[in-house]
Amino acid sequence: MASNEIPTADHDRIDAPQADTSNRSGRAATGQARSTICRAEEFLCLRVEQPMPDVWIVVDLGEVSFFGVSGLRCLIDAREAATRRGVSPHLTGADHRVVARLLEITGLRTSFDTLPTVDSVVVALNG
Amino acid sequence: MPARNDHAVGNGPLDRWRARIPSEVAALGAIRWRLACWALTTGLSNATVDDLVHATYEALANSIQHAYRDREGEIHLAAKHTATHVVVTVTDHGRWFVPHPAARRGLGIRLMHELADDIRITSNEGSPGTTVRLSWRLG
Repeated sequence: MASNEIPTADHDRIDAPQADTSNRSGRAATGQARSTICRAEEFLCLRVEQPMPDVWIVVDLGEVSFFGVSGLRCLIDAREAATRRGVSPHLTGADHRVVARLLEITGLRTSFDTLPTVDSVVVALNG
Repeated sequence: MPARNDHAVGNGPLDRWRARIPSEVAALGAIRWRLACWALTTGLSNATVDDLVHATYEALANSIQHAYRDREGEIHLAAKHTATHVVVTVTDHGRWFVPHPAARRGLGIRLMHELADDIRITSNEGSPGTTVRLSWRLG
């Protein structure tokens, strides 16, 4: 497993909305954030339902500006489905307060295989 | 759809802030921001303001998800501060049962218990339906 390489150039990726301080009061920003959760859930479910050999799933929360229970439930569901199929998703970007506090309070931090950044997952898996 | 966030207009003196919020998840982002702006004037630390905003968000999300699952409705948010406390009250007019904190679907409730200094939840069959009162000590 360690000899496989993660495709870094053409990997599928769901981008979180950029933190845009000039538009913090608009509903567009929240609509976008909600849509990101929905898209992420669809993406994860698809990957979990159709696992391909030698593929790793990395969920990077480094750019989220808010992370609540609904987002956490999505992650938990995806992780449970993935685990049943022998895939272990990695979680990155979970060190900043908005994410770390939620994982800590709910006692779920240790449920996820966390690493600081996507690059560090690549390094870890490529050994 | 018209910008229903316009319903969520705070008014009154600075020691209190009220909003009527449509039961839509899309309305919550703006509310988080406005509530944070108000809470920063109360004397709470920035970290506690984050907790207050997050706990309130989860209370509002619960109302939207459970009280108004099949219909539109309105949630009342009232925030005030005294010399010693900051209190946020979230009131809906629907019917839902507060899950046991140990239940998995009670994750939001468990989180609110941890984020607030004190939490009281009252559920009625009529109107108001469920009221979540969250409070934080000042100083």
